[in-house]
Amino acid sequence: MKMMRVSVAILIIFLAIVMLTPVIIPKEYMENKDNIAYFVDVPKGVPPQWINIFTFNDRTKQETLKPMEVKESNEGVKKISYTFEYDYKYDIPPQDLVLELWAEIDREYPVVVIQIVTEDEKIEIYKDRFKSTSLQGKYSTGKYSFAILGKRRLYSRTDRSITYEFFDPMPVLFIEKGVYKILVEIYMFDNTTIDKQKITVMGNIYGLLGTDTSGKNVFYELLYSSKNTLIIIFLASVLSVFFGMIYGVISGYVGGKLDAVMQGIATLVMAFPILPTFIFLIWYFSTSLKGYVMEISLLKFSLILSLLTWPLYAKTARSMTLHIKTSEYITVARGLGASTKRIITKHILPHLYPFTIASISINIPKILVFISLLGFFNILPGWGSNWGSFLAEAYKEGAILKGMWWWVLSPGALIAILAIAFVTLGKEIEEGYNIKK
Amino acid sequence: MRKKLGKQMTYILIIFVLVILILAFASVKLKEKAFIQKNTSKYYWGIYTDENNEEMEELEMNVDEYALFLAKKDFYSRGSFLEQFYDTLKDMFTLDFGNVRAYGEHGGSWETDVLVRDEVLKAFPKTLMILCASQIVIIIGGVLIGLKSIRPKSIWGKIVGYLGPVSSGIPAWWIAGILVFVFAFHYKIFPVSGYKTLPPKLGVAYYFDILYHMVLPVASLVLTSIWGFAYICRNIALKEMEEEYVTTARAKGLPEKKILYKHVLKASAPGITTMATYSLLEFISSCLVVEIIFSWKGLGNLLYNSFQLIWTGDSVVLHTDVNSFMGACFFIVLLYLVSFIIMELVYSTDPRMQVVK
Repeated sequence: MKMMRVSVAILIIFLAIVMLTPVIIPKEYMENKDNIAYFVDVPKGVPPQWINIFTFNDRTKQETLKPMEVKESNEGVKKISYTFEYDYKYDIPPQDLVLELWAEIDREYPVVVIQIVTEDEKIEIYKDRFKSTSLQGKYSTGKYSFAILGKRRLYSRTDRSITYEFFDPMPVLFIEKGVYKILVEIYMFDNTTIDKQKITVMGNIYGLLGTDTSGKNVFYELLYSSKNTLIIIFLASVLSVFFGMIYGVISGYVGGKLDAVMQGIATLVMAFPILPTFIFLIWYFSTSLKGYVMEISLLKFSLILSLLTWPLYAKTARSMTLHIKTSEYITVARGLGASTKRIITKHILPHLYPFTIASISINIPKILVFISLLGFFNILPGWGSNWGSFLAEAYKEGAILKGMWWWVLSPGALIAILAIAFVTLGKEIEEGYNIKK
Repeated sequence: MRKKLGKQMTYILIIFVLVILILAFASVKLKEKAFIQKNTSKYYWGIYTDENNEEMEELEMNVDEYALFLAKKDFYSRGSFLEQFYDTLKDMFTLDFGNVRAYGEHGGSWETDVLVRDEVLKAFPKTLMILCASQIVIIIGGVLIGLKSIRPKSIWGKIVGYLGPVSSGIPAWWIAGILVFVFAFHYKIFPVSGYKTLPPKLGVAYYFDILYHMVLPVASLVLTSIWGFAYICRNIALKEMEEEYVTTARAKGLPEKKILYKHVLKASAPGITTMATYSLLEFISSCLVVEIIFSWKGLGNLLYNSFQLIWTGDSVVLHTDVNSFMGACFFIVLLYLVSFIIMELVYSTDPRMQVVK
């Protein structure tokens, strides 16, 4: 009973987290999930923030800088210069500095010069012209010079800063700890106006569980996909077990030729290898005619899944029914003139209820494992990702060979915890039932 | 007994024929869907550029339905459904699945000279190798662990009691990833992937090399499945321990070990064999995915390559290689059926089962 309480507690915590998901994940993140430009200033594939506690060399934290000083001059061309101050107190330098601003462009795109100012010299780290088709500009020094914002494409060439594509200026710039002054000069040749300037220091650590290779927050992604996962596994498991139970009870109780035919059908379904059959069915019933990605509604997915997994429960239910059928009280009930329907619903099914619930909760981890396989075959049920597909994505992106343990371990650990909770629950119910018997 | 066996065989034969028929049916349907998916843009283009779509108005269809209608008409102009069904069936028995389709960067695909039959026949032994190796380890290890854990309060009993049910909820390929990370990436004891070193070694060393490459995939499969199997073995043996002949044996003064390994194991062998073949059925799909992780060129990899999303620069295209898929499917079904037949045979040859029936 103690274990049962623990597993119920785990399940309640999971449910609470799913309920709280809209509160925990910022709205801005949810809206920009598929927007690559939103992730321009997010470091890609970096470990979680708390890793600094365990390592000797501190990694740089993500930070946003606001301009300290603004100067404007108008000598032939309009020139606005901003001064940013950055207090660098880590051992491993940042990945990049990203300048972000909103511009309303008149005719020509402004030129950006980014310098780091020390006591005796100015080091120019970036010098280029904005070339964008969008009014908003997210701009980055160094490697990132291509971004998509909303549905419009904003794009600039790094002709003049081509040296930085081959070598990373950051380790050279940030050698000592201390305060660094960053000077941004923007030259404008017409009535272009800009505002909302900020510099993001791209760190080497990010968020509670790090980021994946496209910069998505692993913690948020896990939370977001847990709703989908829980609904799928619960729906599919309940459908398959209930259908199997009813099928098995009818087949076992009625017996004779009907039993033979029904068992034949169950055996036929079992004779199909589940993985290829499932891929085929999903592909056949996916509604994508114009788009090519296999996406399928949640209900259809669960129905297909339960269609392939019910025979096992049907066989178990049948053998249990055969056992109960020989009991004396069934004979008595039949002798008293009870109908088949009444005997099944009043005398046989109640004996199977605890077993049904136990089977559902033992079936859930199996289904979770199975849908995690499907991520490899690009099948996404319902509204986007689930833990399995998230994990499969990590494998496909080569997270293991890049040593990105935070991306691989966390969904796996969640799957394992959920599996333990459900299995313990099922076992406890089964055992309690046996003791009563 | 012989009569029962004959009845069982006809039963299995009927199921076998039905499975093959359904497979052929699925194959035609799959080809139809692939054809539609590949060519719809052409039909949409035709509808949008053609101003007088009289047929469409006659049939009272919208654009989507009409495009589907045209595509289906074109597909069945090659031959009616029954003709294509018959052809597929004929091809299946001669193992003629057609050619492998390859794809390019821009989402286009074309037929290569490589025959699917050759690919599948090359892949099948490799899958069989992993499957057999891991199954042998699981069965022997599972029975030994299961019998060792017969007392629920011993250490083994506790381990199996917990891990047995739980391990079914942990993906084998997740364990595979962790094993790769620890033993291949961090410590570099075992190879990361593949099934032989390049250039291949000669003589006996070649076979040892393959075995060496097999260690991690087999280990990941064994580590996830052995506990569940041991748990099943334990439960079957526990049930057997309640029988009266065990009490008699104990009363005779036989040592507990002798009772366990001589009497109980013998009596529970049919049950264990049935469960072993049954777990093999569940096991195949995780085996196929573990193959993908280790890029072990078996049926799983073939299946994986026949369904790929390709990023063409501005959109994602699903590449489907129906021929390879059907080839791989056919062999997986064969594998499945063979283990299924073994299961049914074992089930029916157990004399106790006949009494129940």
